Amino acid sequence: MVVIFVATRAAGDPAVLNLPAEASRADIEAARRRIGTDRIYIVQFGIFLRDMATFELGRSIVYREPVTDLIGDRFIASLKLQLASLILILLTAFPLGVLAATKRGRLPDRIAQVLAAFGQAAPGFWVGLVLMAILAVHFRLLPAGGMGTGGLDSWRYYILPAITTSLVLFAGMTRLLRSSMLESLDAEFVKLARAKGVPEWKVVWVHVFRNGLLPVMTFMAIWVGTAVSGSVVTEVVFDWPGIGNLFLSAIIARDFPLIQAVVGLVAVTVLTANLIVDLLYGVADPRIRFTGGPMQRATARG
Amino acid sequence: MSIVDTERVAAEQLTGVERQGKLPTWLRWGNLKRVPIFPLTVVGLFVIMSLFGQWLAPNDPYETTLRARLLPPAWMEGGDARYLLGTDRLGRDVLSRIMVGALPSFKVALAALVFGSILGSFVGMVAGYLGGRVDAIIMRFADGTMAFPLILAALLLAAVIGPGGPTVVIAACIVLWARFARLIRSEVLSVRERDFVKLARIAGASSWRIMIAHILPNVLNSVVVLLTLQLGFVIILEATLSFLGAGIPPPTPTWGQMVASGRDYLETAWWLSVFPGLAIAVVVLSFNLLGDWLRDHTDPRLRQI
Repeated sequence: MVVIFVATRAAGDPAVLNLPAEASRADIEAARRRIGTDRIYIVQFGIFLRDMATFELGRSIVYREPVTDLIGDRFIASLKLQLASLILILLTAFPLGVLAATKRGRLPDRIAQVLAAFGQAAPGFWVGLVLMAILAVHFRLLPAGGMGTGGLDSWRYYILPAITTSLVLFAGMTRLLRSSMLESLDAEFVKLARAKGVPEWKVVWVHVFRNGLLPVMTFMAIWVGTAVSGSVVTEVVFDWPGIGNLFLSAIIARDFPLIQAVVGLVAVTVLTANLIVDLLYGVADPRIRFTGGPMQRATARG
Repeated sequence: MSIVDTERVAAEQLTGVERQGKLPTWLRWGNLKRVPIFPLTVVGLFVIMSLFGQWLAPNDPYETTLRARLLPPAWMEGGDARYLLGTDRLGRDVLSRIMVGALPSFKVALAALVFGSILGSFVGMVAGYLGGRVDAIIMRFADGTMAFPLILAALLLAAVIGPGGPTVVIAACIVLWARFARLIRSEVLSVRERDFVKLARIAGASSWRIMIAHILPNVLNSVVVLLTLQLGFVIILEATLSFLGAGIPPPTPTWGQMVASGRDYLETAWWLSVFPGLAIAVVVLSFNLLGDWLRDHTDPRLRQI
């Protein structure tokens, strides 16, 4: 809270920033009174705390609309995009990671590793632009930006942004799933399952996959933040009417109430996502259901 | 795989003594051929370009030639041999700008890694060595900073202190310290229990002395590996922030900025965005591969990072 307050106040006076350069002193004073920056900082902070506590997020300085109205639709739009990219990751990274682990050292493994290495190295905004240049501008197969009208036809608007958003997580997920599956492929219980005569596909998908998933899930919590960062970039590239785009324009205009609301909302979203991951962890691994939190692994790639 | 390799290397070293004469061990073909040539070459080129780019560049990267605007790469129709990768909307040479643009990325990455790794290693060492409540609080904090979306924090920072190199460095450090702290902490946890630490304590060494003289040299390996792996991350972060307008401001060319400025010309001049982005991707890929290789060869236990 304090961080948000100090950061937004230190950023410069929005009254000055949003008026034309030739505005008179009287104009600036009037704008200050409207926004509230004419009062001393202690009073501003008191008002800020009161507003936060009562969810009275105020009006955007630029749009002059209540912040909650502005954010609502955009948040949904961002969520939709995230959901699309999550589906894409589940459809691609999971099979690829499993395939790479079971065919270790052979062609599928090589392909998966090259794809993952590329996904981690290529900057998202660039991949987005290249995809746009090839598929949207050159071949005119897909729309270059925007979100569509929301009708049945608008799925085509999701393809390019979803690919762009999911690339980094796809790479990380494939790599991690591969290495953790390799670890559990050697485990005793897998040998036992094979010795019992369990069919191979069942060994892989039931016994190994379930265990290989655990480190991946630990990472999902950290990746939520990465996903939000990635969506800011994607939304700017593809002109997606989402929260990331809104945040960037709010930053440029020093629109405090809007910045505060977005940061607060993102923080709450990240916390919620972490909670969901913690709960899912118990579902995937019954051993830790009633003990403490998920084990902390010494891992460092986000 | 590793067992077979060591056996083969051992066998080669046994039989190869006479054949290869007095070459030092690391120069023998058996050891040398597994060195990643491609990443090392690219990284070498990147460093040379950063240090000497302004003298090596074929054209002046700032010089605008309005008659030579938006020229395509030399091999395409209408291209000019003097501008190998084409020119931008002001007639500036794309190749020269890419070469000069390596320096800001390099500077920012170096500064961020120096600050981030020192701070993170120190915090991680203290957390791992002291343990208990201090450890719990520090590591919670580290998890928290890693969970918060970095780009949001960086943009906020850019709004407060203005876009530029320092913004990118601080933003990178926000995440880097946590990554280093986590890794070093887990390393320290195991080193702490070793006999030489106990002996040092019995001999009356202070906590500081044990940390600096006994534990630090044992975790330095991991720091170096993680440094290499994170270089790519910082370069991407710098490029992304430049793309969003929160990085190093023009006219200094940076790769992220060049990609951004080519955005409006996707239809007519694709080379403006494609080549700088390709440069980022190849350099980052090389650093990642090099980091992977270093990690596997110095300490296979680190495979999880």
